[in-house]
Amino acid sequence: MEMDLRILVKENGGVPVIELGGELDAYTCSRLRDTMIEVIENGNPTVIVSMLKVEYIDSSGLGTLVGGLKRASESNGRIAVVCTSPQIRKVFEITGLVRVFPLYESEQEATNDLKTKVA
Amino acid sequence: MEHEIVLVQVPSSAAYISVVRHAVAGIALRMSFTRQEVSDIQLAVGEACNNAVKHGVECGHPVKVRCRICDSNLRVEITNRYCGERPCRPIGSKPEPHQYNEGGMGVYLMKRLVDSVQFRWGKSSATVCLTKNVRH
Repeated sequence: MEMDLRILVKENGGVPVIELGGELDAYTCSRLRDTMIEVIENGNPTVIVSMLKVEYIDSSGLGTLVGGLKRASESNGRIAVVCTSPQIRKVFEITGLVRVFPLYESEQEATNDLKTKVA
Repeated sequence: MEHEIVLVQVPSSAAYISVVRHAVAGIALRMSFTRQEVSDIQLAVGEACNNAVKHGVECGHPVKVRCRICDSNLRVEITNRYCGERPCRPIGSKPEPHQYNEGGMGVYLMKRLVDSVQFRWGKSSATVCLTKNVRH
């Protein structure tokens, strides 16, 4: 049980990956917002958000991802979400956000798809 | 019908919402809810607490949570005090993706995740009652 949010910024095949762990909620989401802004404004509008280690997401967390997507879109970027937890996927499904964020099973799958679409 | 009551009280701050969520999840796990159902309850309670903190933070009063445990269901009541005008009654319809921001999805999520969502208004307090039925 992780009651905080862990954030690690790394790369997969040249695509920036924001790896999250723990809980993404009203208390912690500002840290993700700041990280997304920093990555996007550093010239990387296309970003993978890895939620493989996320145990909880609420509407604040979803809103933060949507805010990041709006910012990325202004620079023709995209945000891909990596997520396998049925509990987390359900939140994307019932809010309709599966139509906004493509969900991938692994960071590599997301990287491959993003590169294909850019090419 | 026999039942048990668990009371939790936290300061009206987002920092303490996870404490409530984990307490309620612990209760739900002791009942015969599935892992998915526990997750649903946890998220619905988290959203109700988000609203309670949002509307109650200016008063400085704590958020009070009352869990009523019985064989057939778990009912969680989240109460906050508010100052000034009564907040609008939430609609809870599904927002379109372009309307998403950092609010506006909470009540919709609650309604999708538990069997019953009721709102009660007192003179200076608001209570959200969430009920999840046991199916197994």
